[in-house]
Amino acid sequence: MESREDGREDNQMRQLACERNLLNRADGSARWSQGQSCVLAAVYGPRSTVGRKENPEQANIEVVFKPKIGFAGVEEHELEHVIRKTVEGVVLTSLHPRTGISVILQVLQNDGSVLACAINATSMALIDAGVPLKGLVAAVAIAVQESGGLILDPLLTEQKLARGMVTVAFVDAQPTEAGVPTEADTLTCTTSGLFSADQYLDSLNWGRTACSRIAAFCRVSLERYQRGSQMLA
Amino acid sequence: MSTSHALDAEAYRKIYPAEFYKKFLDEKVRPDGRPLGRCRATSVAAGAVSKADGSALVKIGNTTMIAGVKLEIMRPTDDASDVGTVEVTVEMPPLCSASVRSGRPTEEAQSASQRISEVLTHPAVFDLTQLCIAKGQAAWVAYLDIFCLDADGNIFDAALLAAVAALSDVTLPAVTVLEDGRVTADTAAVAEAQANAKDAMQTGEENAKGTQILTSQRQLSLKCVPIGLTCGLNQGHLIADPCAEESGLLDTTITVILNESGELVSVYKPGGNVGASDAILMDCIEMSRLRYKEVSPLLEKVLGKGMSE
Repeated sequence: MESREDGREDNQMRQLACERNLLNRADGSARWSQGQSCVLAAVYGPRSTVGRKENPEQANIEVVFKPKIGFAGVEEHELEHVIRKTVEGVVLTSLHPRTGISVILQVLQNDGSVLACAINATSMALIDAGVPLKGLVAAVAIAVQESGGLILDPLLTEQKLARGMVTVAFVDAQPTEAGVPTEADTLTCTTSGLFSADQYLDSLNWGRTACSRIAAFCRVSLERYQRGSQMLA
Repeated sequence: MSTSHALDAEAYRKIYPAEFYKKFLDEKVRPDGRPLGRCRATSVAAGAVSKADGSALVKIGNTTMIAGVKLEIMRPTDDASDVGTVEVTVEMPPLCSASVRSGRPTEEAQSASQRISEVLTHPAVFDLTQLCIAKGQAAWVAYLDIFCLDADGNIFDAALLAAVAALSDVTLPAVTVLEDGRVTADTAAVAEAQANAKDAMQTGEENAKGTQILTSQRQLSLKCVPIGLTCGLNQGHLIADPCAEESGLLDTTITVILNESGELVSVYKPGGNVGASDAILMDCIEMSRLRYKEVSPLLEKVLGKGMSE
């Protein structure tokens, strides 16, 4: 079994790090990194909107994705589209009709799995802004290697060599009273490259497990932060 | 009496679209009479634009897409000297639907452009070295423009089908180098070069004087044929090929693209109000397989090739 270039196991995530409330002008912000991949997210809102964006029934969500260098192109607009749809799936938009919520994402470093990183950063920034959510959304990327094996959270180099890529996001709701965790449903899924249906199912399962671990990390990170701020007060 | 009843139904449909639709779904049928898993009538016609280098017209129900390929010769960049490029643009002009306004391209069109481009430029789907004319000197750039003429839902499937048909319909013209070093596909120059080559053959000269043929005429082909099916989820019901009216009521959509050997080319589920369980995703893949069997004969027929080997 060949080991990965950074010495990780196939189903091992890179080191996660999350820092919140970095930007004082934004209502919420977070910097999320997975190893060398790093995305900064800012959330403004719910704030008033005008014109066609105003929806009398729910909040309007807008996502801006800024690449590390250059201007946003068609590729970035597609990422914005996927992230916006994902955010719409978790934000309780009907609580804030006629308002707008803007999510601005800036890629600080891209070392693979950048869409997953951006979704995680968005999730934490939304929580930091105090936007009411259905649950905590977590995303992860899985690469299907030429040999058919899967690797979790690929690096940029691994991503380029891969046969295919799957990025999935799951909503990690609070454990129910019954205590039995139900199998999480896929909120978002994008893939590229060619692979079999079995490999896809396997990656979904890997993704599901990894996302619940990421969500657990988020909860710990959120708790520590709250304790810290209470101590200061 | 019966007229007022019919009017009531129409009014109900306008005022409470979700409730109206739910009444149908409960009976496992859709307002246009289709069962939940059936797609609308689909047709593919290649060569719809006579002046384009390759083209196709696709209809899925009322949704109409016309795709055309325009070829141009470019100088390849140094880091990709032996490949050409395919530039995909999906356009939704205001004429295609009442909900589209002029100005910035719609999000749907941009998203479709990017996803089709991602599928068609993947090395396992389309070999870009086919577009090479002379390494480091000249290569084809294929501008693949897909226009929506009527947007009645399921834009992406129709656009992908049109893109695949138009690209397979392309015949690359023969190319020659002029004396001043310019690479051209001009018919007169090519004919002259062909005559020169013939002369050289007869006289047995090794280096023919005048112009030379770089590449001869050839048909473009795809390594595999990707065909997609978009399904929508509405209150747990899986609905294949949603029309425009249904699209507005869906909780989420799932698009599965397959190739002829049943491999997944793309599974795309962009968020939405509900998640999809593994069972639903598997159902989508299965429905997509059935759809593949339905659509691939249509493509084969117009392109006249055995594509589903």
